[in-house]
Amino acid sequence: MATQYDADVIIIGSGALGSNAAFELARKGKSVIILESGERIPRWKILENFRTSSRKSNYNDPYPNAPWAPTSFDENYITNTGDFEFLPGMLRLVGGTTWHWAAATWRYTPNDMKLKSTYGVGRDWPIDYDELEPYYQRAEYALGVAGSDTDDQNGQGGDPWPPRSEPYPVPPEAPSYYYQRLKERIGAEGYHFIHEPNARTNQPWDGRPACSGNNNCMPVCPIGAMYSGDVHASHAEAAGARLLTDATAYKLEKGDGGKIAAVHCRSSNGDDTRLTAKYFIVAANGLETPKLLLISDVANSSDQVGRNLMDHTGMGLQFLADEPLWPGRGQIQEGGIFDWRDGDFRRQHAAIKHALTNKVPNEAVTRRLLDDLIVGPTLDERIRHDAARWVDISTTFEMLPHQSNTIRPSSTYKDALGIPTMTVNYSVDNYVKRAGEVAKKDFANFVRIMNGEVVEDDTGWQNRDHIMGTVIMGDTAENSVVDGDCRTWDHANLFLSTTGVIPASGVINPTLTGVALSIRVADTIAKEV
Amino acid sequence: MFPDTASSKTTLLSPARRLSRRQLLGGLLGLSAASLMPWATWAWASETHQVSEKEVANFLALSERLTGRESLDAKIAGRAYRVLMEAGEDFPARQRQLAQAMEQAGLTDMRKFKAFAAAQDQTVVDTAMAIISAWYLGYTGTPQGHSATDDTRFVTYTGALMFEPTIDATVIPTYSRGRTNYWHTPPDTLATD
Repeated sequence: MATQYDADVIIIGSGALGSNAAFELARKGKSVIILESGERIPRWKILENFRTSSRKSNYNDPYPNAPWAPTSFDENYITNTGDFEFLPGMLRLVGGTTWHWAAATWRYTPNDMKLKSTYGVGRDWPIDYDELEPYYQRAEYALGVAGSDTDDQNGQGGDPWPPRSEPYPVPPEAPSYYYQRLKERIGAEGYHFIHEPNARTNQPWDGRPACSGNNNCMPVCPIGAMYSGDVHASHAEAAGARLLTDATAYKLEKGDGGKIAAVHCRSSNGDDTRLTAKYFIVAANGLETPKLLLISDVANSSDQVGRNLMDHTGMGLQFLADEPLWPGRGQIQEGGIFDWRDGDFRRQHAAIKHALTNKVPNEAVTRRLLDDLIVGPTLDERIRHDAARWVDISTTFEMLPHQSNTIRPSSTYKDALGIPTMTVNYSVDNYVKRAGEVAKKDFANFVRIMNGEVVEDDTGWQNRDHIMGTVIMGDTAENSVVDGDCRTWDHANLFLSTTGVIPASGVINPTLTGVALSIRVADTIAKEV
Repeated sequence: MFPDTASSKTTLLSPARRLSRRQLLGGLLGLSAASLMPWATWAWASETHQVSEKEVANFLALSERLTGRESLDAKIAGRAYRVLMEAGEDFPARQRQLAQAMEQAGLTDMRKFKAFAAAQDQTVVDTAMAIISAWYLGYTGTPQGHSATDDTRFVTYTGALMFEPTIDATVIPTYSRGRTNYWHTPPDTLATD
């Protein structure tokens, strides 16, 4: 008698990556189960949680933080042992962390994916840009990405780059006055401002409304103009996938022939369930995915699971310009300065991205004035004056993979389900520190050009929540966890859909690449199952 | 000169007794008609469930002077007063200390606050700033960016005074000025900003 399975494919995680894979498989007629550790929460509740929150700058706060499905800010979720306090803001609910991601959807460039062979540092991807390009296109249509078809995204003022087979699905939104003025003045000294492709649609797309400038992409878009993974979780369900919430996967069970036979999951009341499938996709983000593999002792013959952890560790600059620019009108990100995205300098130091932040700055402005005991009518006058002139630049750096930057299951702490939490060891290397010095020179230039008054130009290293490298992709089973198809070398029916597979980080937000890879995973599996 | 009405003594008394004691003190001291804020020397509730409308009204009056506003929202005042008490049980006593100091210094124009602050104990300054911060920021305490918990308490969102000076130019985040791409042009006030 033929083996009976609970599903053709079980996907662990209902975030943007897992849900896009689920939708692609379900619409091809495959039976799909999605396991989600958290719950489904309607947008209006998250919005009200935000509006009544006393810590609005804490992007995890409006989201559920259950003992059995904690956010990453829960105590003991991550214990750090390195010299950097690595703590990204990760969520646990249907749709995952793209509920608060600001939706920057860049593509890698051909050089980004061949870093080792082009510049002699880091690693190459085992696939090249041309292989990924059609999947970028599909991912951009899935997410309704607005982008410029004319920008050289390498930031050199050249022809449109990277190559595209089709235009962006949505045209770019209008630049804000703030962005235009900074571009006029800073750009006049040769810096290249590039529009940020983004999944905050500015015209109706897939049931989503056009962005109306509510200026709250993080921590929650109140109107759903900004894409979040719950869109495709729902699409997957409509196409026949079954989504199980309150179902935390805690073990992958090995079966015959090097295959994964089952996943074990646990509910909040302690009930355990064993589910079988022909194929499994772990799409539980770049931290939980390696943790699950390590706990299960799977896919790790290379000893690379949980190593090579990369964030786009960053820095910030805030200053007051000499003219009213009025940040806070429109979306919270629009683009930035990309001169250090690619070039021979990458032999010496990391690529650099300076992104303009366009958030309503009143809280930061007011806190600063209150700290200086400015009150009464003067306070009101200064809030308007300073809020109009506030410039905030968020800078990120390319990372290289290092064996010593690790995520491991904690040997000390467990969550309410008895599953170990995590220990992270993360340090910033000299490749990044050298780029940090370059970035500080840029900061000084930006302040000088805008005749600015510095608020903060020495923030130290900051989290950027772009988790890569932890289940690294490579060209041999000895040096990597997955191959170029995101299939684990050790288990032919186990795929990983996470930005954790990314072996060369570039300097751009990795989620679109993760979605593209996930759609490609679904195509691969659909041919086999 | 004034009886110490701090919590340790008062909480031992019955609610009725506390009330009469407060009324008594209020009645006596309210006679000093020349005072800017006579209630500064009254007895105050020491726990949030004891808070009376009168005390909130007094807090509102002090808040209006501290913020230079003439008509702050009474409901927000009630919430701010209670969370400031939750944050520090000595808040009523500290507030009284602040009000007395303001009265003695004749501080009515908040443009002169820095000079006033320079001559005061740090606790007086801290109390003033705690009240002003609650009104402007809409919360009390210090947010921790990467923690599930901190000592903040919610007061108001759309009522936070920090949004008033810019309300014609930007938005209170999550709300909209109503039109895609409106942000392409600057506010009409640009020339005078």
